[in-house]
Amino acid sequence: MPVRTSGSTESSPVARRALLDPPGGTLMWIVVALELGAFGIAFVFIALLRRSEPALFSAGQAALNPWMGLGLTAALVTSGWLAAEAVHACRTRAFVRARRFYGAAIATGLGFVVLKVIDYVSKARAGHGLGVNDFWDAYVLATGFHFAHVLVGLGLLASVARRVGKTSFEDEETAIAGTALFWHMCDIAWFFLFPLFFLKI
Amino acid sequence: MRAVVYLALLALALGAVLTGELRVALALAGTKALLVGAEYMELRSAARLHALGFAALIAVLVLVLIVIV
Repeated sequence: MPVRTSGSTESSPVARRALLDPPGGTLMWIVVALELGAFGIAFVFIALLRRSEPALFSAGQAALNPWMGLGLTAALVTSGWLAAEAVHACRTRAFVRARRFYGAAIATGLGFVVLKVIDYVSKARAGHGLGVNDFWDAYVLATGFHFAHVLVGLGLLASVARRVGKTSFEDEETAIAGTALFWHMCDIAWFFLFPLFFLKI
Repeated sequence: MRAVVYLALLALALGAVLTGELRVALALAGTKALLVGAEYMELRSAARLHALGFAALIAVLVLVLIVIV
């Protein structure tokens, strides 16, 4: 993991890296590419459903609140920023600061989880869920797939936060920058799920 | 720079809701993905081929979705 030598407060990695030495490690970039590919296929199916069944989609969207979607986005984006700050603090060996950022990133990530659970419970109580129609199948499966990734990402962040500055990692780049990379992938996937489901036809 | 990107991401998300237009919102989603990639995923310091590949993937995804919807 490259360590800054200047006193600048700019972004940590200043030198351009080799193709086979990406920030976060090659393995995590392969994982991210595969996951984004899977999400991309889901986005295309959702877009096709939007186009082929506009009335059904519009009826389903009536139960969704765009401002709730914006709140979920804000929680994820905030958590992503804090995770990026944690990685930067680790790169500058400021581990106490890094642990604070990790804690804040996990807390805001849990905010997303709480909001999403509230969303799922309220929809279930209103009779919306798997098997109701194509819209709710797509909504539950696509956002559920994303939700599972968020839970995994939070687990990864927590496992790194617990160890950072206390014990050494066998592969520090993958452990620190790689887990944050996975977390940012969750951000990117949500950026597309949000308008596809929450913006009205 | 990371904080500036964070504020830009929030502003773009708000913009997507306020416009309410799906094609614009998808373009904004692509912009947000590129910002996260460049700054938070540190592609600014990655190999050019890697950064360009990521940008191309996002651009293709946005274009495909905009054409479909």
